[in-house]
Formats: sequence, structure tokens, C-alpha cells
Amino acid sequence: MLKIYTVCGNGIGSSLMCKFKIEEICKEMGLQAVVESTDFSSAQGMNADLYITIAELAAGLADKNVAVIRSYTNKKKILEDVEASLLALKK
Amino acid sequence: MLQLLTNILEQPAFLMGIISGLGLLALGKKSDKVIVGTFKPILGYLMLAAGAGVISGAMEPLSLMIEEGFGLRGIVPNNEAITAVAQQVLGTETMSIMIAGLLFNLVIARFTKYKYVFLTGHHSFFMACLLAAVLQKADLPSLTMVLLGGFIMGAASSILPALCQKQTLQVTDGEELAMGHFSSIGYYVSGLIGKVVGDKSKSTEDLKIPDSFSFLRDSTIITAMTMIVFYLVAAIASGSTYVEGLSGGQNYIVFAVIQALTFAVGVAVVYNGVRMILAELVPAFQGVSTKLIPNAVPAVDCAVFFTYAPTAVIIGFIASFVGGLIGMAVLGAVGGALIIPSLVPHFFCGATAGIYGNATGGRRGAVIGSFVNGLLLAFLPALVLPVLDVLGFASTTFGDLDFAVLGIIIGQAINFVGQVGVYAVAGVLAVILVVPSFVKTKNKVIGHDMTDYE
Repeated sequence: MLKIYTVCGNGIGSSLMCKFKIEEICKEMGLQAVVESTDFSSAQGMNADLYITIAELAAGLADKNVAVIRSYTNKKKILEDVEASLLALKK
Repeated sequence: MLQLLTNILEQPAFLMGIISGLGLLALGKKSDKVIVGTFKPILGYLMLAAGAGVISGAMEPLSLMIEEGFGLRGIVPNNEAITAVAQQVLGTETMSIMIAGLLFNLVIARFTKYKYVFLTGHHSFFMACLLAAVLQKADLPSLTMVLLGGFIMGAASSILPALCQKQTLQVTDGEELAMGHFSSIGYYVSGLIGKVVGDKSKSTEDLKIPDSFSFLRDSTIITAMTMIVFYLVAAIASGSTYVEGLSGGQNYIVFAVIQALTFAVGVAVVYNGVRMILAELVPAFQGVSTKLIPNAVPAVDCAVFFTYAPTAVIIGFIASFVGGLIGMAVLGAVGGALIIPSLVPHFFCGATAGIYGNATGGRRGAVIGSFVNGLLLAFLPALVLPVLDVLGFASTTFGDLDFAVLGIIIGQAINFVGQVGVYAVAGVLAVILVVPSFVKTKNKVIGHDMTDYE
């Protein structure tokens, strides 16, 4: 099972909203994944197949597999931003 | 037997676990999900209580040092700290009001034109705690208190997003989103100021801000950094002899730094606990609302809006913090309580005020709007202190503006007319909620005018 983290400053507001969207997207793509939200500090010490976050935080996760999103809530924009990374994981 | 049952339900941790478990059963989830979903909120709540212990332990020397050094009562506005600490006396009340409030929010969204579903769980939790504390003074029977508190919370969760909605649409350029963060009065004021003083076409987003500011989004780090500054100032002002008396001989600088970092650790633990509670609660709440409420608009955390104007975030934070420092100086000079401008509310609320000011009034709107927001963040938490006295815990207070405004209104109503005051506040809110149903409004969802964006 794949492990995906959505990341924001606190891990309880924006990233939780984003987690729902990613879960929906994974389901639609037929991807089996556990999606969880987390805060920026914790994310740096975790191991996951993919991290999803905004440009301002992505720099701090440079050594990880990161997909950069423009919006935490707009499903259309999120899909555009993460589709390539998710397709790569599916293989 | 009855005694055992009451003892179980008196534990807010179990109350959350049971409700979450029942909810998952009702949604027909598999047994493994139900078990996880029952345990997580219980563990999360106990973790929150553990964090509260850490925070109050670290807070005590700070307030002693401020008193010794400045002869003033020093107060750090921090929602996590006050809510976590208040759980030691008001746990059951807070959790009961929170559950009632979430249900009232859904009922209001279903039956009135306020179709806003408030999804920022940690702010619902803080609001429930504020109401539990303020309503103590009215001395109501506990069921009445939970119902009235729940109704006020549900009404606030519906009305405040509607108040901001016109400006929120300007921020997001017409997304199906609303502001679900209880400092919305500051954002609304900032948006109004922007409209008056600014020029929308000169947006902050045409400016370039270096990437190195992005660490400000990491709230553990900014809490640690601010606290080190404040603990050091307080330790130096009160002198090494005094502090080393508190520390049992440890060097006063080392002691101050360790206590400051311990405070930040406490806040991080509380966040982790809140995260475990919400991970189960928010999805269930959202699932119910999408099924039952057509045209619902989700009201979400302020940080969601940061992506729409990242430069205004930094400008707003700085302007708001400057406002907070000036406010602190004024309060100190008139001998009020010393509200220490804590970076967390200034960052999140100041940034959002900046975004709203920018949306209506460009750069000038962002700077002036969030500066005023910063002044409000200094004065209003000071004014809400007297009505929180029941907590018997005076070195922290709620940081964000809506908590302060609602707390002051309800608290003063109780001071003047007692229990009647609570009913009056609830009555006024009820009128605001139902009136639009009987008059013709421009839109199906009040405030949500999409005509310019479609």
C-alpha cells in the first residue's frame, strides 16, 4: 500500500482539506493509498512514497518525492498538479 | 452502575471516542475502521491533556518573571494553551458544546439561507471552550448551558463566514469556499479598510519576497523563536538572582531558553492531539453535510487562502505584528495587562487580514488593514480577560478576534442581566439566522453572490 502525506504548517487545517481531495483522486485513478495530513516539521522526519504540498514548503522537503500544488482545495487544480506523480507511483 | 456510566461520560476523552465510534458504525464502516476511529480521538484527547500539563508548567516561571521584572500581569494569547489548560476544569462542558455546536451548524445550513458548513475543527474546539468558560458565570443548568452554548457556536459558525463572503469571493476569484476561521471580524475590517484607503490594481502579488521567509509557516519553529525572546527579556528584567531561585540554581539564561522551548513542545503535543481527534471527526462531519445539505459552501481554515496571495501573507504578518507591538506598549503604559504579541495569531490572522486588504485595496490596503488587525489583536484579548476569570488561569487568553468579541458580548450581557443575557444573545442570533428566509434575497446562499464570477 502506498503512503502519501499532505503537508501544511500545522497539519490540521489546509492539509486535512487537501487529504480528502487526494483520497478522492486516488480512488478515481484506482490507486490504493493511505493518505494522511501532517505538519511541516514532522513531515521532514517521515518516510512516504509521496509528499503533497505548496511551493513555499516544498523547498524544505527537497530530498523527498514531492508534488507541488497551487491550491489545497480546488480539486481541478490539484489533479493537474499531482496527476503525473500519482501515475508514476501507479507503475 | 449508574455511577460507573456517569464516570465514563464525564471523561471527555471517552465521550469523543464513543461518539466517533457510533458515527462510524452508523456510516456502515468496517470493524477495523470503527476500532481505529474510536481509539484515535481518545488517545488524541489524552495527548492534548498531557500537552496542557507541559504548557502550564513552562508558563508559570514566565508569568512570575514578568511580574517581578515589570510589575505587570503578562499574558500570552495562545488558543492552544488556554483551551488545553481549560480542559482540566471544563473538559466535559467543552466537548458537549462542541458536539451540539457542530450539529446546530448542520441544522442551520439545512434550513436557513446560511449554507456554510464550518470545517475548521480546531477552531470549533476553541470556540466551544470559550463558550464553556464564559457561560459558567450565568450558572445555568448543565443541559441548558450545552444547548445554548451549542446554538451560539452553531450560529457563529454560520453567520461569520457569511459576513466575509463577499470579500472572500474577491480573494479567491469566485471559488466555492468560505472563511472558516474565528478571527473573521479582523479580516472583514481589513477588507473594509482596504476598500476605503487602497487601490485594488496595485496588488501585493506584483512584488517579490525572498523564499527565506517561508519558515514562518512552521508554527512549532515560530512559537519556539518568539518564546525564547520573551523568556529571555523577562529573565533579564527580573535578574539572575530571582530566576535562579526559581530554577533551583540553574543558570538563568539556560533556564529561560529551556522553559521557552518546553512551551513550544507543549504546543506541538497539543497540536498532535488535536490532529488525532479531528482526523476522525472532520471527515464524518463533511460526509454528513454533503449528503444532507444541497448547495453547502465549505468554510475552511485561513491557511487555505494563503495560496491566493503569498506575498500579502508576509506583508500582512509584518504589519500586524507592528500593530501588536504598538498595542502592547499602549496597554503597558496605561497599566493594563501586558498582552505579549504572540507570533502565532499575528502570523495566521495578520497574514489573512493582509490577503483581504490586498483583495479590496492592493498594497496600501494590505498594510493598513493588517496593521489595524494587529491593534485589535492587542486590545480585544485584553478586554476578554475579565470574563474568563472562572478558569482561574490568568497568564494566557484566546488569541483570535471572534473569540474575544463573542466572549466580551456574552460576558457583559451576563454581568448586566444574568441568565437573561444569554437568552438575549441567542435570540438575536436566531433572528439574524431566520430573517433572510422570509425576505427576498439576491442569492440562494446569503452573501454568496457568484454573478460576477460566472
